[in-house]
Amino acid sequence: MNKLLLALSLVPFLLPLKAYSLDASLRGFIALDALNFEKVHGEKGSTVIGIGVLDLKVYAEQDDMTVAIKLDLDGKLEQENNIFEEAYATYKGVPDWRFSLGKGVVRFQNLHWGAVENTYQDGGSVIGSDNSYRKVSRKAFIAASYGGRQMGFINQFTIWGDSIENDYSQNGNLQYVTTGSGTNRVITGYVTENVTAFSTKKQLGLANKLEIFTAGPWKYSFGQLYYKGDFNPEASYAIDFGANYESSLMEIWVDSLYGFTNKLPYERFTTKAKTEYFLQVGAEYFLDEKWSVVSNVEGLYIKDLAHTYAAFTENGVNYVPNADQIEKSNATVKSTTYKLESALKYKLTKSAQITFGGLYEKKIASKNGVKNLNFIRGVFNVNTEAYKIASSVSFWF
Amino acid sequence: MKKSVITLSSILTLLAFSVSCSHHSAQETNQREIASTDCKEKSRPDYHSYFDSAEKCIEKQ
Repeated sequence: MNKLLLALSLVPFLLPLKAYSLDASLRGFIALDALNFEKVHGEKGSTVIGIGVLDLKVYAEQDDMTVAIKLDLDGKLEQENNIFEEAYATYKGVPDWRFSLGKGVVRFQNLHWGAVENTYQDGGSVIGSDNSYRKVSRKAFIAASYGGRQMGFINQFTIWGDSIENDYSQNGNLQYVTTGSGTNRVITGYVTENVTAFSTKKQLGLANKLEIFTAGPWKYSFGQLYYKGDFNPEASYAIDFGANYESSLMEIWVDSLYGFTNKLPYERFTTKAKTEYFLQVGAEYFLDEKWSVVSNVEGLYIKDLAHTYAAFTENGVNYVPNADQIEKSNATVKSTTYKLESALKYKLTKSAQITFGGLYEKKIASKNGVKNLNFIRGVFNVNTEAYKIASSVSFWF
Repeated sequence: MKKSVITLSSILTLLAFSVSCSHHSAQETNQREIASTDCKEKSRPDYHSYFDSAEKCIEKQ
């Protein structure tokens, strides 16, 4: 009995007296459009005032685990779970390794904001760009990263899937969303479901990003992306090369991407075969501690072959194409879109700046070799130009 | 007697966890606050880079 009591009295001293404390940190980025004027040729100009970007990210850290949740407060909040742009956990218990799991951005591109607009790869366009490869976000993923700045490189490999999956009928066929009555139906889409975890039986995405840090001011990145849905006849893939230069005097960024996209005939932004080439070059020159000048140029070349739409019968139901589908059936659209932008930045405080600048953008497109068209189904603002004068305030915390 | 031993051991275990969880050295708190402020200043203002640089700075190296 005495030995037992003695053992029990030692219990508090044998337990690890480690401090388990939770650190939480909130970071936010707000960009407000103080007074922007946008005009697309042929349309009335418009003044834009309001919130450009509003995002909050919460980090919580305990020992070797980090959790991050990013709220997309300027997004479409009416959609289920859409407020959560990112929600993932990272484990750093193994030296030089990081393991992440959850929902977030699939990293393979060298993304960089322009001067007054976001990059084409994140929807930054006044005219409306037609590229398929945007920032790959809101995806379910598991990633492993090896390396560090001191080692001279970081490589991140990701397995990912979309948060929307097609719904199947009992006999394994895709289910259509249709309109019309009687014996002939028009397919306008597929029945889908929002999923929090994806099934590799229905889809599989892979990505890799290698960043190389040199002894000098340059950093290089090489990224690859692959995606295949089980009903897609071909996979979609992209390769990205990027470079960054940073010094106290200036910053330079370069990004280039080649991508191929294949989608099902009735998917949103569908294409049978879309090939795109993207190039971005920009620089920011720091005049002094407060003032800087920034310039950014981007170009996109896209060749898009549409699906062929014809009437067919499946499971005793007749499906016919509508007028829009007939119009774009088997068409090849080639488009070149480019923008030039420049701005003056003034740092109000360490974490706030005013940007004042301008942007010029142009799109040249043809359909089946025919140029100078005023309208092409499925293409924004064909053969036109646009400009924007912008003044905005950015604040990060 | 058996019940007393079990009760006493439960109380001691609970106390031990409570003490260790609430223990937080002043130095560690100070270090985290400094790191947090340092991270704010080091984070890059470009939208796409900001959250990445903040995350790398906040995480333990």
